[in-house]
Amino acid sequence: MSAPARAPAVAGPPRPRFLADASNEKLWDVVVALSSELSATRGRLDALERILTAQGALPAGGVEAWEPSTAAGVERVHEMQDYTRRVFGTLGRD
Amino acid sequence: MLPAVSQLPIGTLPQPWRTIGRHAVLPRLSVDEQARLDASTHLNHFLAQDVVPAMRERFEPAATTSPPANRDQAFALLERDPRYAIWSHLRRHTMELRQQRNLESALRQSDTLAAAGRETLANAPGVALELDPTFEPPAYLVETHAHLLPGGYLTDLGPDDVTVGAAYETSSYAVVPGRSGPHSDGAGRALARWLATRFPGFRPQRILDLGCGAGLNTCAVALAFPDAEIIAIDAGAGLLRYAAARAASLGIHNVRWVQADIENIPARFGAADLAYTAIVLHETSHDALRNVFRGCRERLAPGGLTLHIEQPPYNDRPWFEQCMRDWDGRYNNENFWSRLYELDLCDELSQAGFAPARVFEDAISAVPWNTDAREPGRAEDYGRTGNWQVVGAWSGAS
Repeated sequence: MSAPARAPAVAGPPRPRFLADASNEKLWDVVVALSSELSATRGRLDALERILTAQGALPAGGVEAWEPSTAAGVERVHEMQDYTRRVFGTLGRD
Repeated sequence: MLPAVSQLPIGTLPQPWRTIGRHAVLPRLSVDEQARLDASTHLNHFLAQDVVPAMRERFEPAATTSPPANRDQAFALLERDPRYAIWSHLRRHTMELRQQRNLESALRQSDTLAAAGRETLANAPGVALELDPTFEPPAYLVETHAHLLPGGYLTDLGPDDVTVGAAYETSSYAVVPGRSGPHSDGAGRALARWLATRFPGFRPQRILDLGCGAGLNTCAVALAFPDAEIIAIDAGAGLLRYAAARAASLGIHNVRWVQADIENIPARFGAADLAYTAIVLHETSHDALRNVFRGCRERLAPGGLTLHIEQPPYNDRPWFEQCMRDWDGRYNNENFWSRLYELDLCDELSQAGFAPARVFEDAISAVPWNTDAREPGRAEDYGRTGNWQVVGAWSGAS
């Protein structure tokens, strides 16, 4: 049996360049890709909330109404600081 | 006393938006809206704490090898570090994001907030809000959207609109973030503490707050001098409506909120014992500054005091620090920033007619809200940290 035909990762012929700087072109690629990833995450979270609400595990508006405890609030701040450093940490290094 | 509010015990880490002090006209932000702002404040904190020291480490040896002769040359040296362009871009981006998102949130709720403001003022008959429909704002406020707030300070969507004030307060909380206290009144509390320390016997009865904005600092001064009448002047009707409703909601009733030009202080209020600006002058112009100083001299009672709190002057500060401070003047829509911090404000007060022997300057710092909000060795976020200069003068002959 022959191997299933695989589509190439990108369409040919070579992609046109729209921006003067190749690194800018790549940066935009990343921005659009991240945006679609984020959209997927939001869609999944929304689905989860709706399922949990339908099953009675989460009251409607429960996430909006949620107030973290002081301990949870502090943990979330530290987590966000760590997250920021993981993503942007390279800027602080040579 | 303002209502008790808990900020988190996290030192100088960014306070989440939800720790902001609540009142009747504060916009409500959804979980997503809050999360976007919190991500932006953390990015800004990272830029100040991690990237700025790294840029300084590269800048200092280069500046020793080829010393800049002026600030432009210092900027040129800084621009050799590729991180500077990225840092600038991200810093500008975080500023734009918080202004645009906060304004969007306020606009979405503009009808609700207008109704809340109307109701609050209707139930606080003692509160004086004096708007002037014929008022012509100064050009520097019309032409500049200060701090990248779209539309600037003068947005006014209708008779009860408070949108711009709501956007201003929520952005103020996010920009520092939270270090000025839940009510974003760090400069007002600093002024009150400084007066109590330096001139404990000084009890002004009539106080002029020039350029009161959303009244954030005004309320702290009004609380510190509960027996005084505060006349808070600003150009923006939307800001003043918000300020009046906010103050009434917080139980502060000794303020008259007046739409007028701080360059031409109306005479109808009578002589004042204290006339001050709090982090206002950098948004004006050199002509305006001279008019404000002259107006203070004219409107002060004998023995009265004028005070002006601002970022400290550049003077002989290291080039790197000057560049960091001057970034706002170049890229953050601050009209008069760069020029102001090159001026000798004591000399300007003398030129406005105050006796030179009665003119003074001092350092003044924000009063932390949390007792743990001091972190030794922390890199200063220039222009965002509450380390200011106060210049002042007593009226009367030397």
